[in-house]
Order: sequence, then C-alpha cells, then structure tokens
Amino acid sequence: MSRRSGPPSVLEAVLERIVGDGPWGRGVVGDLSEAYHRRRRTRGSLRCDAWYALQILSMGLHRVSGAASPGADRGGAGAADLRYALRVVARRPLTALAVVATLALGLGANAAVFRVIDGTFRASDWWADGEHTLLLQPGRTFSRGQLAIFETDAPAFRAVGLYRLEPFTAAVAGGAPGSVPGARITPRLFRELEARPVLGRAFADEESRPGGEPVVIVSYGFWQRELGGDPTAVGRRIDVNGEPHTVVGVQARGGTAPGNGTDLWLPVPMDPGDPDYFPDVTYTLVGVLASGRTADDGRATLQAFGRRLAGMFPSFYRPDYLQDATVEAARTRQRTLLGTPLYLLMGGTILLLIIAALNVGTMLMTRAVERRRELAVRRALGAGRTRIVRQLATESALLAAVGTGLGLAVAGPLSGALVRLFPAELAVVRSGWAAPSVALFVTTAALLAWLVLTGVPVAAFLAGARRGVDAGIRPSGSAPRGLLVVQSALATVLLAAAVLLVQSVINLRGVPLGFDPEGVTAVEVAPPADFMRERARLREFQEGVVVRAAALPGVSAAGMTSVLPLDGPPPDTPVNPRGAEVEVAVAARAERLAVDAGFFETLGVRLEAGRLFGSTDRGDDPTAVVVNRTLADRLWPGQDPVGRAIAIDPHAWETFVPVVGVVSDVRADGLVGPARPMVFVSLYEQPERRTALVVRSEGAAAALAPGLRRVVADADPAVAAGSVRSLARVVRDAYGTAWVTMGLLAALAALATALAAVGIHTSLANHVVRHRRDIGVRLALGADRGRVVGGVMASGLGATLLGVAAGCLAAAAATRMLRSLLFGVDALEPTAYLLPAAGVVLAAGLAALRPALQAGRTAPAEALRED
Amino acid sequence: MGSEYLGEFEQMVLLSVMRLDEGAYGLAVRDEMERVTGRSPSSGALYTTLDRLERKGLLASREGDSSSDRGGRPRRYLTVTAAGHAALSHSREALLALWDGLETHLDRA
Repeated sequence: MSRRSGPPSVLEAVLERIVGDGPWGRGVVGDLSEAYHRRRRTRGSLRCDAWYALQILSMGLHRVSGAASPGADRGGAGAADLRYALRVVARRPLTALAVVATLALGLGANAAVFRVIDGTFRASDWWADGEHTLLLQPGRTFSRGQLAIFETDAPAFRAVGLYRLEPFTAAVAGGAPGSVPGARITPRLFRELEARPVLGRAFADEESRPGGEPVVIVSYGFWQRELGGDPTAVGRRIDVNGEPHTVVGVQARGGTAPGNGTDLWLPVPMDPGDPDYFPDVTYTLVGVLASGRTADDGRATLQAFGRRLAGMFPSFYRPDYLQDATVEAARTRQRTLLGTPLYLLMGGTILLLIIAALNVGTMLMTRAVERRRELAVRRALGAGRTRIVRQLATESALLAAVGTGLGLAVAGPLSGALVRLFPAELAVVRSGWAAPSVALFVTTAALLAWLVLTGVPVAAFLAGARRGVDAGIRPSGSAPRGLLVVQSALATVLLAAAVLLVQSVINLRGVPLGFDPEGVTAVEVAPPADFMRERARLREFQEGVVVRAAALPGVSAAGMTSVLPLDGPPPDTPVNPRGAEVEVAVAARAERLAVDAGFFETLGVRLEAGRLFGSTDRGDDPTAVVVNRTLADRLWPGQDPVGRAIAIDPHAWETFVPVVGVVSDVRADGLVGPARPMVFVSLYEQPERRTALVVRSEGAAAALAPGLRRVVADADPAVAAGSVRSLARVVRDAYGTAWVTMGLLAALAALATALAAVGIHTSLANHVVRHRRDIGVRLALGADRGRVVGGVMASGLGATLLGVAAGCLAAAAATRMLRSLLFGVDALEPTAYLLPAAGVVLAAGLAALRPALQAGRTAPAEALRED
Repeated sequence: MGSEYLGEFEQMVLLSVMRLDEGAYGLAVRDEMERVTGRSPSSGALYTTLDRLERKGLLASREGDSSSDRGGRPRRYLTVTAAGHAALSHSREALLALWDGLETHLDRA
C-alpha cells in the first residue's frame, strides 16, 4: 500500500468547491497542499488531515461571511449580525465544531427515534380503518374451514378474512426463480387493506374459489425491480411456486401490508374439497367491524362462533372453546408490541438531548466569559443592549441551524439502522420527513436547541450588564452547580434503566433452550404446492437437500424440521395416550414438530431415553414418535414412556403410534413460563411442504448462504431457497424487544454518562479559571494546596451526589414504564440504583480530578498579577 | 482610495508581502507573519484579505512556478502596488500622529 503524503482527495475537492477554480483558487489550494506536505514530514497523517479540514472550515466560513454581506457594512443590521457571527465562529472553529457536533448528535438521535415511532404507529393504518379492523385471537391461527363457518354468522363484522405470510418462489419471464416475501389473503380482506393500486385492481371474490384464474398482485418495489416499471405490467404472467399467475394489480409505493416488505399477494384458495381445508390451522383471522359495532361486539361474535364449533364438532372442540377469546384493533397491535421500547428509547434520547444541551450551555458560558471584554468594549463603543443580544441570538441561530441540518442528515440512516435492529415485521419507517408530525417535532427540537444556545450567553450578558459595563459577563456561581446536579441526575436515570434491562436479558439468556443455536444456520425451503401430490418426489427432494448440505465443506451436521424453534408458535395437536383414552376436546395438547433424524444432532437436542428417528421410520403411515420430557412426565409420571403409544391425529383418534424416544425439553414457543409438552413425528412419514433446513458449521451464516442456496437448487431446479438466517439471530429475536432496547439504552446511558463527565469537567475547569485570583489569594495567605484540591473536588462531587440522589428517586418512579420489558428482576432492585450511582460518582470524580489538580498547582504570584 | 485607512490586519499582510520582496506568496506571507509577530493567521482570514487587497488594487499578483507538493498548481506571487505603498504610508502617518506624545504613557501602564 502506498503511503499518502498529500491531503485526502475528497477534502481537496471540497476546498476546490469553496475557493473555485480561478487563478486565486488554484493558488490557495496549492498553498495548502504545500503546507500539508511540509507538516506531513513531522506529523502523522491523521493530525495533518484534521488540520487540513480545519483550514477548509476556516476558508468556508470566511467565504460565506464575505458573501453574506457583499457591500461591506451596507447589507443592513441583520446581514452585519450574520457576518459578524460567522467571523466569531471562524475565530474559534473548534468550539463551534463541538457545539454543532453535540447538537447534531442529540437532535439526530431524537429525530431518528421519533421518525420510527411515527412511522410505526402510522403503519397500522395499513388497514383502511385500523381502528375498526380487529385481529381476532392475535397470536393464534385458524383454518379456512373455520373461516367458512365463521363467515355464515358474524353479525358484528361487515367483513372477515384470513391472511398468512409466506415466502413464494417467483420467476419472471423465464428468469431464474427467486424467493420473495409474500402473503396469502382472502380477497375481501385484501380490499380492506389500504389498497391503493397504481395499476390494475384488487382481488375479486371468485379468484379465491375453486377454478378461479390464478392471479397475483405485486408490490411497487417488485414492479420496479423485477418488471422494470412496465406500464403494461397488468396482464403479464409470473411463475409463482412453479405455476403461471396473471398480474392483476400493482400496489402503490409503501403498501406492503399485512407484512413488512411483502412483494407478492395471492388469494387464499377456498376449496372445501382440499384435504387441508380444516386441518391447516396457519392463518391469522381478521374482522372489520360493521358500523356502530364495538370491539366488545366483535369478541361476543367470536365467542358465539366458538360455541357453535363446539356444538358442531363436540369431539374436537371443548365446550369453552374461544370463550376466553381476545380481540385487538390492528392499530393498537403494534403499539402494544413496540410502544414501551420505543417510548423508552424516546425518553432516553430526550434525556441525552438535555444533557447535550446543558453541555453546550456550559461551552457557551465559557465562551461568554472569554468574550466578556469584547462585549464590554462593544458596549462602551455605543452598541445598544438590544443590538448585542440580537448579535448573540444570531450566533446561536447559526450554530443551531448547522447543528439541526447535520442532525437531520444523520437521522435518516440512523432511523433505518434502528428499524433493522428490531425483529422483522414490527417497526416500519413509513413517514417521510415532510410528514407534519415529524416536521413539527424537528422544528420544535431545533427551536428549543436555539433557545438554550441563546439563553445561556444572553442571560450571562444581561446579568453582567446589570452590574455595569466593566463587569461584562460574569456568570453567577450557582448556574454551573445547577447544571452539574441536573446532568448527574439524568445520567443516573438512564444508567438505572440500562442496568435493569441488562439484568433482564441476562435472566432471559439463563432460560435453558434445550438446543444450542450457536453455529446453526437455517434456510427456508418451500417447494411448490404440487410437490405435496407426489410424496415420493417431496421426500426425495428433502432428503437430497439434507444429504447435499451435510456434504458441504465445514458442515458437521444437517437436518430438517417443519418448525424452527423460537420462530413463532408451532402448531399443536391433541394427544391420546393408549390405555387412558380421552375425547379430542379434552385431550392434553402438545406442540408438534415434523423432523428428520439429523434435526436432533444438528441442534444438539439431548436424547434421554430410547432412540431417535432412523432410516426405518419412513412408512406411509406414522410408525414412531419421540416425545419431550414434559409430555412424558405429564402422560406417564414416574414411568418409562418408551414402548407406550399415543394417537395424535384427531381424524384417526384410535391409531396409536409407539413412542420410541424421549428428549430434553426444547423451547419452541417463547422463553417465558414453563416448558410446553412436545411431540416429534418423522418428516418422511408425515410430509410437510414448508420446512427449514438446519446445518451446523464452523463458519458464519452469511458465508454459508451461497452454498446452501445452491444445494436447494441442485436438489430440484424448480425450488429456490428462502431466507437464510443464523439460529442465534432467531433466538435473539425471541428475546424480543428487551434485547434491542437494552443495547440501545445501554449505549445511550454510556453516552450520557460520558457527556455528563465532560460537562462536569468543563464547568469545574471554568470555575477554577474564574476563581484563579481567589485561589491565588488563599494560597498566598498560606492555605494548604491539598485543601484547595479537596475544595474543588468537593464542590464537584457535592453537586454530583445531590444529582445522583435526585436521579435515583426519578428512576424509581420512571422504571415503572420498564416493567413489561423486565424478566426475573424487580424494578426496585437495589443494585439497579447502587451501580449507576457509583458509576456516575466515579465518572464525576475522574472528571473533577484535572481541574482540581490544576487549582492546586496555581502559582499565587502569577494569579495575582493577572487582570 | 488614498483617503481610506487600512485595518491592522491589512497592514500586517501588506508589510509581510513587502518584507518578502520577490518571494511573497500566500504560504510565505503566513510564515513571515508567524515568524515576526508570533501569531499565525487563519487560512480563511489571510486569503480573503489577500483577495480583498488585490481587488482594491493594493496588491498585484502573477502566476509563478509549480511543484509536485502543490499538486501541479502554480504559486501566486504577490507585490505591493504603488497604491498599496501609498495606503500603507497614509495609515502609518495617521497612527504616528496619534501616538505623538503618548509613548511615555506606555511605560507607566
């Protein structure tokens, strides 16, 4: 690598933009380049780059100030103020830089979080009427057959329907098939989405019925990306899951509901002749309230539906089926899931902004003290008080404007990054910066920042002016102390929240998973539907994928499962033990996973008794099941389950299958509460089309992805692999928003503590400089240097202790907000307060050390000679 | 033009250019000012002042040699024009007249 000896070309280009390409401009750029080379001989490149950047800043500010008032002083008082402000800034570019950077950070973080909040809560308006669109039994799923029965008598609703998110394999015009995020949705419900097709139309009811033409609606993004924005896209054919579908509509930009990033929509096929019509319980049920009906009416309708089902199929449904049903407005759904963490984050960033603003205030105060002579001279020369106040306000406005601009520039990427941190399909940035609420927020924040920036120096100046011109600016001694108290209090609050969340995440991580997610990569594999009609082909394909994946370099084990643990609730099934038979309706229920032999080894699931699936377990009818410890203990407490038999198919309730093995509990449906009963069936006996390939390897998931995709295509060219994820990431998502919130809040708290320490340092250093004379006098009169040092330390730590105490009280009140995110830790846990208190005091002590030692080193003679 | 007084910084710049004679260009002027006064002007202040003085006709410039350190860009050599000399002496006289009789006060302060 060649060693650069000249200025970075990017910076040079910036300078050229500022000074222009004329003879004068070339001279300046040449001079600064020459100076850079000279400095470079004795200094590191980083320092030289920083110096060069400062020169650019200086040139830029002078150019702007020159341009701001072309006719010298004839540009009027406002232009003169601006020009003067630019000069003041140019004279001390570092202070200006610090102020602007602090502001940009504070405002940028706030704007980003606010934009995510605003976008997310607006996103539930995916539904044309998010307030009256109810998710029925959210978190639970239904079948098409159930919907058909529900529909016949649902008086509270004007429309009911189902949807399910699933990846589709799509190919455009003979291109290679790729996996795209898609949704199946009943036509009526699709029309209740905020569907604003830019081309074509929504689904028609008959497109759901048997014999209906296969149609698809594509997203705006898909249209642009895959169809080249073709204005005649409607009517074109796309292969979806191996079958040609006609495009009937293109959704408007941003319309990707009900998922986040859905690219294709297909109608749910409502064919009562389909053997899966009732058993396939994988759809989310949604109802749109009829006018004048309330959510309570909706719940009553759902309960009546439950009673009807129990009456129609008494052996399948308990009499109290759906009697504890819940309904939730689509709009509130996301609020409940994301509300707490996002508001918490907003609170955190606002506290950070306050700390940042206080720091900026301290910096400005320092500057005001340094400028007191200049302002006093201007006063003496006849500048009116209003004029000087206006001058100071112009300077602040300049800094605030630049800081806000920069803040907005970083807020865009920041909000994008924030969204990616949250589990997929939860947070959505949908509103632009121009959305009224976002614009209002940013404007308000910018105005507040400007007020703080103006308030501090103006107050200091006016206080000085009251005491006479000579005094200039002498800020009162109590203001910095107040700042210290507030800063330490805010830092304590943030730290306390962070400690509680860290403890929660540690506790969550302590819950045994029953498998080892590290080093496991999962790939969605969903061959087209026609595979289900040929069991031999499906089996051959799935086996082919597993065998090929196991042979990849670096892969130590491979397997397949119908459900990935902790990736959404698995379907459950009633269990009928032989010898203690029960009705379906009252049978114990167990989570049901269809897996192959390799699954257990790949995930490191421990076998406790008996055996796992082998090559013999692939009959056309089930010949073996494996149960987990919880199910074994529930059905046969204290006995050996191996060799017993259970029936798990409600349609073949007397067909008993032998239990061949017992494994440890595997967490599949969340980490909270006791482990649930689970039954494993052999994937090759109970075929499932939508599966996940799991492989254990040394390398990272991303490095393995191309090989895994190739493996799927090699096994059958008609199939494309879906998303590739590391199981560790799936588990992390299952820790939920607590994990993300913890990370962000911990970062905010660390930043806040650092900023508070900087603030404490700045104001104590100020204090020492301002009182140099007094300190000098005391030392001259024989005061002990140790006592001087101690005095400064005590004044800093005293304020901090006060702040910490106030912060602990505030935190105890505020952490109520956190409760829903906490796991296994009490919001009033003493360590959550002692630790932050100790941290802030320590930081304050370190920050106070330098100014204190400086005070102790004051030479009395020099201090007295000054001023 | 002659009736206008030069600012302190403008005088310092013009004087540095005169002191450097044939070798006066931006970077050299800056070095000279730092060497003599102990304070280095900021780039923005120096170059905008040079530009302003040239536009006022107090400085003249011509393109000179180049080097690889300068990325091939020529140096811009400066000379003080007749008007520049006149403005300098005008300002100096005004200052000297004002200082007249005040030198002793300085020693007391």
